[in-house]
Amino acid sequence: MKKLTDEQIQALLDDGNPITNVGLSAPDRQQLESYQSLFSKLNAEPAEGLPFHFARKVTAQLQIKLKRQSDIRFNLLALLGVFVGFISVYGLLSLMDLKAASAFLQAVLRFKWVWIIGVFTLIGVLVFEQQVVEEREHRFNE
Amino acid sequence: MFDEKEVVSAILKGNFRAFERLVKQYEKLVFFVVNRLVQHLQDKEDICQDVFIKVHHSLPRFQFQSKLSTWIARIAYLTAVDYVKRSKAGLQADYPENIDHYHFNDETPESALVQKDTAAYVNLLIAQMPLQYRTVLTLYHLNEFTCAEIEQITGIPEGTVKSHLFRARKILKEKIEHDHNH
Repeated sequence: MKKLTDEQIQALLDDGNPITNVGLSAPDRQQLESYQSLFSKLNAEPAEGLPFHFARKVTAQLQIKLKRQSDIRFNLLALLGVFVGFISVYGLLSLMDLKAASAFLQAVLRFKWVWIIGVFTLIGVLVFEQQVVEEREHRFNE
Repeated sequence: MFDEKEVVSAILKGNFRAFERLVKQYEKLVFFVVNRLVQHLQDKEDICQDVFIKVHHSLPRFQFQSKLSTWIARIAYLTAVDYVKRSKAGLQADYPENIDHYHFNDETPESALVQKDTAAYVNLLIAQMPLQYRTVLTLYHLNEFTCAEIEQITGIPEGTVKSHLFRARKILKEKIEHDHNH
């Protein structure tokens, strides 16, 4: 009687065709049964899994993340807009009237601390928002 | 009926319900991959979330050159492997490549406890195996990918996938038989 090798038994089980023990020697039958039992264990799904509302949770987190990214982008663009606005006004004034341009620059520089504090406040708000969102995410995860 | 192209196109238009459908469709697949590679349960959930956020981020680049499931499984595999490498648990990947001479650690109290429950015992033995073997067993048996698809997911050549599968199953069977006889 021809003896089945491990490779042949595994290949038979991989093919998924029904296999009968008929005609097999006792050791072969035992090997086949051991592999069949192992395959059934390997194909069994794990007992634990993801929480029931996992999909909803991930989607909510994604929405929060995308909103945060969009807010940050908007705020940085607004900051850039203000900066570009100042430069444009100064540029236009220097083309039309140098005195007015100089007076504008003086006025901007006189209030430099207001601008600097404004920029830092905006960054502070962004950081604070980030922390609040992260806290909310953390609570959501628990 | 889950239509990959329809769902992907809806997600790209900003439809979050479609994204939720995609997550529901593939959450098991991602969990199976992550579950076998990562040990800690809370980390598993975080990594699965991370995988789907990456999927959403990379979706505009998905060209349907492979099945969506294969592409998502690749992201899950790479994310989990990256996590394992960064964590201390990654030390398990340093097992010798020659698994034929591999010895399971069966002196743990846990192993003695679960030996009677063969399914749990098989999972415990798999958890002790090198990362590549765990991955191949999971993708083939739980996720039902073909060896060619496993090559696409992991980058391991198809011949090596087949060899890993054969050797892993052989030593698992021998170990269970050995424990059964003693």
